[in-house]
Amino acid sequence: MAVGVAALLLAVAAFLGLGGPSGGSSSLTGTRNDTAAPPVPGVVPAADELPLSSTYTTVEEAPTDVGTGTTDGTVVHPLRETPVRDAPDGTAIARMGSEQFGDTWLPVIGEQGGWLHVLLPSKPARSTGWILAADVKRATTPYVITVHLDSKRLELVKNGTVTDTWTVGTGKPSAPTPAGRTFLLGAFSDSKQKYSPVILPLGTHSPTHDSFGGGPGTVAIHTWPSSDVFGTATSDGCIRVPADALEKLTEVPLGTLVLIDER
Amino acid sequence: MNRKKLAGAGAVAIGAATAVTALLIGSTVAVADESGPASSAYGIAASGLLKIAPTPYVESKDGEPAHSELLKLEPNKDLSVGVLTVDALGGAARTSVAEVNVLGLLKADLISTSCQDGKGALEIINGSVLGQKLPEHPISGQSIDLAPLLSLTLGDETRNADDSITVTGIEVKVLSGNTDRNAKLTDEQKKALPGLANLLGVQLPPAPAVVGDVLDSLTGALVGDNTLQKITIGSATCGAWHDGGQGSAEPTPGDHASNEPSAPASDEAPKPEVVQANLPVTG
Repeated sequence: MAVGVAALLLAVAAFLGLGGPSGGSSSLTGTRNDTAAPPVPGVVPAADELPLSSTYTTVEEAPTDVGTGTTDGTVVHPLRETPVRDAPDGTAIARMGSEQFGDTWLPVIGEQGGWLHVLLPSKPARSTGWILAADVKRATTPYVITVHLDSKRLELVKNGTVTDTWTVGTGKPSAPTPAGRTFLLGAFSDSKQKYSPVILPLGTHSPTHDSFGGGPGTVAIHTWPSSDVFGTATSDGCIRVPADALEKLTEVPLGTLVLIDER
Repeated sequence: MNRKKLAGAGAVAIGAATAVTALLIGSTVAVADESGPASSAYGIAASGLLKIAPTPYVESKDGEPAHSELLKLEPNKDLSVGVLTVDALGGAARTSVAEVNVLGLLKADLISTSCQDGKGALEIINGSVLGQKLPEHPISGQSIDLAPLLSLTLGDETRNADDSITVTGIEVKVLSGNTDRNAKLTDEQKKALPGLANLLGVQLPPAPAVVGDVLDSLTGALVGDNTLQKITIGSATCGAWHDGGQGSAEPTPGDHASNEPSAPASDEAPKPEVVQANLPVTG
């Protein structure tokens, strides 16, 4: 035991950076180690080695969403940081945290056993992954938002019925709004972006702007100071909506599907 | 089936600390003819200007009990902890840290962090930060923002790639780089600055008024996610051990509410809360 104690003292002292700030010293007044197992440096959970799936990151290994339709409205909020896998009980490819813009909610597009297939907020477009059902809180959203790029119309659908329709602005040909199935990722105010009191980032990105204005090219729904942009394809990918549309869309739960098509 | 009490894994009782934490995991857990992810625990770690590797640290890969303890750790007069005990075995891990004092701002008689069969628990006895009482059984991941000087996260849980859960007792972040540089320092925070300087080994201006004055004297010192210093008190990692369909052990007292089984999709999702953020979007 005496050897074990001495070894532990030395090991601990070595890890404390004793030559560091302010000449601080450690004071180990006693120790005992029944297992003779010294402290192990660099204790890092394996999950830390995986990228966090967020609007700022890319998860190349993420399976691509092939669906285009609605779901039963199930959305989930991760209660703890949890691995994202490429299949049920498959390989871990990323981590999903519980917050990005406030609480994170993700739409569920499939379920198998104790695993949920969700859309991801990270690049590339239409990224998906599988997370443990035990790590999330479930809820349902009655809403779906549809965006028709050609007709430049946005529809708010509640319980299968279109409740509101607005003419909106979309991305210009050189920076189009990407078609596909995505979701409401957050709702935030940004004092540096005066054009809209609230910005609703989506879980998708511009296909042409890998970065934009210092951001990662996140596509969002927001309003615009002048109404002449509505009905035009003049944005850099975002969906510009009238103020009354933004007001209603800000009430829609996060995780709600946003279905963008070419019609 | 060979089962043991985790509380009994440590052969040495160290006064009240061990007695209290023994209550945290009193139910039986599997150790021998079962299997699952490795368990581990440590009492304290720090990264930033002051570095402390996880100490003391134990790990159990095969389910056999592992135990370690230190009677005191005081790398600096402004950071001290008393008795630290750590235990790990199949499907369970626990650590308790007594007599915690961080800069005189965060104090607790005991911080016990435990994990059993993939469920975490945290108990803080007589804890306070800047004079504000800490909850005995915090909600998992509860944050306390004492900007600009400190921010605390209590009982945060992470699912690891091997399906184990890591429960972090208290994570203290000192002078997060994301704080408002123009935020005024309160009198209590000003009183803590000499200790902060001593802890980090830096010279601070004689009479800083705002957080920017402090940060300016620490240029280049920010690490990781723009936080000057992180201190973790208590970490326990464990996963569910399979025992041929016998089910898991009983929940531990103080289990986080977030560990409830995933409920059917019946509740309507909440309306979003508009938060403050800075993300340039595609306009």
